[in-house]
Amino acid sequence: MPHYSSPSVQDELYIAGSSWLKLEDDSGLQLDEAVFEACSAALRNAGIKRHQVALSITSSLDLYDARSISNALTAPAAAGYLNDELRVEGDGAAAFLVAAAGLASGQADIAIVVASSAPEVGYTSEAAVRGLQEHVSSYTFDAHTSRPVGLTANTVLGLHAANRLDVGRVSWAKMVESTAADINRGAASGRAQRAATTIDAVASAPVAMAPLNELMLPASSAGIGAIVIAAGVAGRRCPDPLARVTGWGSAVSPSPGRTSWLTNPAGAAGKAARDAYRRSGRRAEEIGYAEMTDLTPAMTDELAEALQIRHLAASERNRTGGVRSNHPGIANGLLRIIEGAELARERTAGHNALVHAADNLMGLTSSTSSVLILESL
Amino acid sequence: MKDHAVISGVGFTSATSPRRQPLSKDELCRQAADLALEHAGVKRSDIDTVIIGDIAGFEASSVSALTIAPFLGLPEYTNIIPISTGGTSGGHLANQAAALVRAGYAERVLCIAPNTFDGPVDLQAVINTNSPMIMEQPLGMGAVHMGAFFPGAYQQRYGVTDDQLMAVGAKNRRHADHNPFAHITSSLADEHAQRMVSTPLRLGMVCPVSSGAIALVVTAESLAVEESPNPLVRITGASSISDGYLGGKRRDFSKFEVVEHLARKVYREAGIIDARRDLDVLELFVPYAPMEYLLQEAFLICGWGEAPGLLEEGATSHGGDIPTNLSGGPLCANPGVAGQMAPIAHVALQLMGQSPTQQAEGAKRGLAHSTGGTFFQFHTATIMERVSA
Amino acid sequence: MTATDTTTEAALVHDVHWKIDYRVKLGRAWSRFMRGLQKQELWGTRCESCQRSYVPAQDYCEACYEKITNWVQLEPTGTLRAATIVYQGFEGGPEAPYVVGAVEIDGTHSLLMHFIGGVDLSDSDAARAVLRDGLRVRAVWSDERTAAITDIKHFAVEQA
Ligand SMILES: [Zn+2]
Repeated sequence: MPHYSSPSVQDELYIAGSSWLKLEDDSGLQLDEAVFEACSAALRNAGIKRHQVALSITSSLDLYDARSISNALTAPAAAGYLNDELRVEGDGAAAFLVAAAGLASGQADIAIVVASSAPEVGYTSEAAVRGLQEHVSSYTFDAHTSRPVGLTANTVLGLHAANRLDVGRVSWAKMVESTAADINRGAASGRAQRAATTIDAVASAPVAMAPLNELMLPASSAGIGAIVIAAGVAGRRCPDPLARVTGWGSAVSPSPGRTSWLTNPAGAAGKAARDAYRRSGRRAEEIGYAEMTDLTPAMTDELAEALQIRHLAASERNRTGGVRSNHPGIANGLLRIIEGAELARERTAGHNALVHAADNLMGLTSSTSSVLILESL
Repeated sequence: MKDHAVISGVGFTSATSPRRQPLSKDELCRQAADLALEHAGVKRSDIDTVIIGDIAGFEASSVSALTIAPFLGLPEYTNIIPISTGGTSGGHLANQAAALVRAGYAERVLCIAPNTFDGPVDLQAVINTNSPMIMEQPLGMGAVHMGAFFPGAYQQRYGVTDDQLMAVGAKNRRHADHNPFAHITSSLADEHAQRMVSTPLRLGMVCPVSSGAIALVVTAESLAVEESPNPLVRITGASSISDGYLGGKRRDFSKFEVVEHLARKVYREAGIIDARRDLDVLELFVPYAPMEYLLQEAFLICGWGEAPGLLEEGATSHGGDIPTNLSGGPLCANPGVAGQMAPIAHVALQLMGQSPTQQAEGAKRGLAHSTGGTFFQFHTATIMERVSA
Repeated sequence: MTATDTTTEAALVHDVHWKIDYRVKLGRAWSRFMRGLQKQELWGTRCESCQRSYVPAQDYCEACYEKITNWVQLEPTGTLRAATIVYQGFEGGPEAPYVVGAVEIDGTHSLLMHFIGGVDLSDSDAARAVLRDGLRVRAVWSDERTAAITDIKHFAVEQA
């Protein structure tokens, strides 16, 4: 296993600017135009011009974008013209770490990461977006063993929730209550995909993947996020950076063929968190806020345990409702980082926040968990 | 631990046509991984990150890295980074591995370049979906037609003949006669080679469709010193570039202008001043023969329009001062993402003095390239240097 | 590192199909560009900040990264810069042989890719001799126009 040294001065990475573009039905933008909107807003937010950016990393999926090599269309719009560019076919937080590595390796001083969840199905409603996500998820599972038997990301979430109810590790009433609370916390924020609700409405929502009902599943949405990351002095000279990245870790959960995805689905998140704590030199008790990707309310407690954030009050977790308020597909990881970084900008210097992201390409299986620790400046 | 990145192991499966390939993609990738790990002198459990390339739409699964990775037998929680940039996916694998190692984010990275072309029933139709959907696809532009634009303009600008274009194919197939992993060699029939596909490209200037996988192990140098039985090949330059999207953004089709940008950038990083003098071996991604000339010129090996002269004087053949595509390149085996990473694998083995093809004696520094996207929008370059005595 | 050779009894093959229906948005710039073609008008944009021009139109400048609002109507004439005669087409594509060219539209920095029509392709050498850098061409409009790039039927050699 890798042995880490303590962070060196050269590894000082700043989230210099960010932006989130929520896509609505009538946005009227072509994919590259939307990417340009998000990236130029992030650069303005960072106080940085395109010519200062030397690395452009994209998180997107051709099958959402309806185009082969869709990053060919979007790279020039993401400050990638005549630049180093790369597309990670995965969650935005994984793309963020690839960009961070690019800076830490000395390849560039300033990088932009863009994550795009702009499904080309004509509509941005939760049902329309979820329909495509599940369709593509089916194609992500193995063509010979898993796809023919109906596996999708959300069926895996249903399998897990059923097991946790059966063994008594979660209760239905608690799942209903926390779903309503998540949705209502988010409804007050500007990025919500779901309107405010009631416990009764959650309890009686249509069942999707038994035992999970529609509102317990992630709130599928369309959106594009962009973050500008800067290394060392390039970050410190930015007018108002949001946060410093002091630690990170990532790990991938077991594949569908192993039993451990069900027995210990938060194992990868736990490993990623341990690595992030070790790199940052922070202890779990020093974390004051967490933004996490608990894909269903049946995952919440075991994920919080793995991330070592059980000490946090409900108000200090997912203040905008997390994925039950807004889950923009593979752009989710970047949205979680943006939410965490915006909080970090509000808090006083030295405050520590933890961000956890996990993709839902194959539910809890083969899912990349990324953990960041952000320090307020 | 931040460290230089070295290529410590290379694994090739044999190349054949997709029709004759008895193994599944998962099996081929595992075989390539096993060969690379053995070559590097490390175990599966030593790997902390695996980077896997794909081209969506050519695969039976979306994000195929996620279905391939479980077959590699790596430890639970091993990081998987799926990279998908079309024709440069393969070149990005090693470059990204180097970035992770240099950053201290990883210590031993396994790069998997799968065979990409085994699945599609009508491959050319799938490749054609890569051209810009709304603007250029309706105009009958597929991959090979995009490949034809550049040489046509090049011929007119510099007075290059059809025979001079064909000479690249013939040279590379002669090289491939010595490459056990090549799929097409100089036995290619001449009447077949002369068939016109899209002016000025004839069949003998166009890559085949192959099957086979390649894996690399990229390791932190201080670890490789201890564990690798091979001479150390350090990645000293790793870069990529994007041009604009539509073909019309290329401006001057007689040059690979965007590669000139990339060359200046990657040479600066690797400390290369005079490319022809400082580089000993080139493996360039040349799916269409004439591209070799345009790439050599854009990589500043010689002046504009001078590359055909280099071939004629033997400089780019085995024994010349700047041997190019000693493997035969993609004209002799093009298994998709594996074909894109093959240039890096071949240069690494040349610098180790272990080439399975004709060895460039004493080669110390080399350049590998990959390209893809519509009208070759994307390119990668990797400079490698032997750092062992 | 060694080559491997594996022979097995015939491996199984499964048919795998993907089918997804999409509705793809053309956005601000290409919608306006395509609607122009439908009216037999060729429109481009020019960046106010760096003077680079884009045909097909683009409403942001990838080079200097500014938004572009300056639309310019262009004469549908230009100079051929590169061309290829396609003798082997592809499934679902046009019937070969056909010519695809890169046309520098007058007064712009852009090359527009399109069909070049009206050239006798029966002798490829003779056709190549015509289809050279510098050839003047003009758009020929399709009779049926649907706000698509093929609303221009092709570019034809301009008669002197
Ligand atoms: Zn401009």
